Amino acid sequence: MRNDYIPYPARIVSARDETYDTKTFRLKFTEPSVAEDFNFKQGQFLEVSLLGRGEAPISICSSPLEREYFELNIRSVGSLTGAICRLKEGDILYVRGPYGNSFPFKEVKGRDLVFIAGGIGLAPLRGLIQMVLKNKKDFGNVSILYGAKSPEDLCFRDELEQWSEVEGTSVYQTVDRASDGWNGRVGLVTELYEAAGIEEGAGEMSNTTAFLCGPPVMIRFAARKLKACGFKPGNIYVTLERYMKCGIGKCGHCNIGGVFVCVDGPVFSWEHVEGFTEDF
Amino acid sequence: MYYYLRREKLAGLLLHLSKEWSVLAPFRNSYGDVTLENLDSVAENGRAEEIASRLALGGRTDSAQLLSPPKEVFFPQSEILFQFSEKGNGEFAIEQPEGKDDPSGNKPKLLFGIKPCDYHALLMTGRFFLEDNTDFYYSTRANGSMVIIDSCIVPPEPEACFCSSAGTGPLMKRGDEYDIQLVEEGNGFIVDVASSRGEDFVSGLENFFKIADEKETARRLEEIRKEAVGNVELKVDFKGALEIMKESPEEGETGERLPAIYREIADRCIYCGACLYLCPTCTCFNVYDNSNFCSVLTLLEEGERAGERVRVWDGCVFSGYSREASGHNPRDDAYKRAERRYEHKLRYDPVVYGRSTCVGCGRCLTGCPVDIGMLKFIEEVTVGNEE
Repeated sequence: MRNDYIPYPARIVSARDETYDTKTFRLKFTEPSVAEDFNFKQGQFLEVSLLGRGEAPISICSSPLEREYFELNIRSVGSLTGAICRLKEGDILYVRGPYGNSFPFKEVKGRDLVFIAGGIGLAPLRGLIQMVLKNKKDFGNVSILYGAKSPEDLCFRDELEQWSEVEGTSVYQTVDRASDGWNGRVGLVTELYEAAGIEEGAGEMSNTTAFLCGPPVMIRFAARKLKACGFKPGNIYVTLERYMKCGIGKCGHCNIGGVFVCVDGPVFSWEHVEGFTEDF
Repeated sequence: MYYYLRREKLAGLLLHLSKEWSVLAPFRNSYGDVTLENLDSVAENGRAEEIASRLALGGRTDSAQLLSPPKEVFFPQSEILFQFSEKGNGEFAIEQPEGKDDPSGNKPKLLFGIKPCDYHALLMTGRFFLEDNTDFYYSTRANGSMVIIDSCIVPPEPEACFCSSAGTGPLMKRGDEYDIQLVEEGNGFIVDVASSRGEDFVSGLENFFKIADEKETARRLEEIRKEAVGNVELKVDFKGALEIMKESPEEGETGERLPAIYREIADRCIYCGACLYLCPTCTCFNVYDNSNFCSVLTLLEEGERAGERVRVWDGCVFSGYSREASGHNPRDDAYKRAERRYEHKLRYDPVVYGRSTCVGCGRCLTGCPVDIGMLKFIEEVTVGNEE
């Protein structure tokens, strides 16, 4: 019988500093058969271990279309992620998964898409953005709205630049606090809505789908404002995070009301989240 | 079919069964507590006489509740998920325990003498762990196991048992999902065999199980059932509580009542977790690594880098339960943890699994140092409901 709790070794192909506390690791399973069998969908996550230190759920930040490797964007916040962020190319992480449901992709073809991310919340959306931009002709206009605490906290800066150069794609950035050399916007991510054509009273946004990820308070405000700007809750997708220990709906930690974030999520439509009777 | 088993045959039966099964039965220890013990560990000391004298079976003359629920047989309080040791190149060899840590060894487990409330709980934890992403460890330990129920004619904890309200006892009924129940009668037990697996079990054991008259036994069982239900004096409006819990806490009259009850529980609870550990259907766990190179405190020997991944029972009343590395904690407020405990059992599980996962065993009340429990909660929620 399959044991879902056993992780497999994956070697770090490259480790790139994203910000002062965040790194993007490119990984490949060391066993060819494991690498071959590894398939994931946009929006899914992995349980990532540093044996001896512990295990945590981390979303996959690369595109499922990329078969040679997968990428994880990890911020050093605790004992485990702190230790992971000290790893270098050639080091080994232990990985199991993928887990959870996924973002709609085929289902949103032909529509305009808005991605709204806060801080490291861009990571779970990045794989989907890469997929969409690789197949841009199948989609309408794409807007990427990205906010961070400071300019130093912005992740994937080179890529944001490249994405903005794709036809029919706009990238808007903002920070809570400016620092020297920042000429961009200062303010909340919701203050970028107007520039992206999302306005109250502008009528129903029936041909646009929004994807959100960020801190819980940002998700709440961003989703409510989208609703006020004519988005149906069913056209807003959020991906949630929660403390987790198993990834397969057993340990209980990620329960919100009657759902498990690990198996019923992490992607939820706002229609669903609105009905939650517990905070996330 | 119905059979009759004489009490004097019990010890011999268990010893006979222990050839093929790992027999776990309720035994009373020198402190008076009743726990599920492996027959091998009991029989080593005193064979049949010791078994007979310490066995706590019989719903009328020796009606006793297991101190801790039987979930621990399949889901121990602490278990090793795997061990790892460095093999060079940054990689570790990972070794699964493969049942080596299971006191039952490779024999299937026979749980002999489980109360109906605990049996219902095992059905629930079994479904939870085995359906939709089978849990390897629960499945390994539960594989091939069987439960023989010892039904209650007299409630073991009259101040706390409310199985008749929760719909889980005191006796099993034909049509329920079970194999065999024992119902104490005279100097022995009526053996109610309710499934083909149960029939397979008793066949070949004619020396112990004597065929009983079908009609007469059915009639007598019905009599005992009525008596047993009458003996459960504690009655609560379980269904009424479930109805009230269905409503959103913000709405209507319950909107005023529930938050006040949760607040009081949150204020009085000492967050020891006893109710969760003693609950036969609580299944939350934590996972951590114990190693000789990262852990601050470890009993593992020094040498090559090695360690183990362990899972232990966890509980939603603990403040660290949902705290994330960033410090964000969606249930930081004790109120939310109190709410979670009751809403999970009485509000969400009825929606997700079709029935509440409170089985009315009463352990959360008897084990609580500050007198909080599901029973008290249900009583408070349904105050004013008509009888």
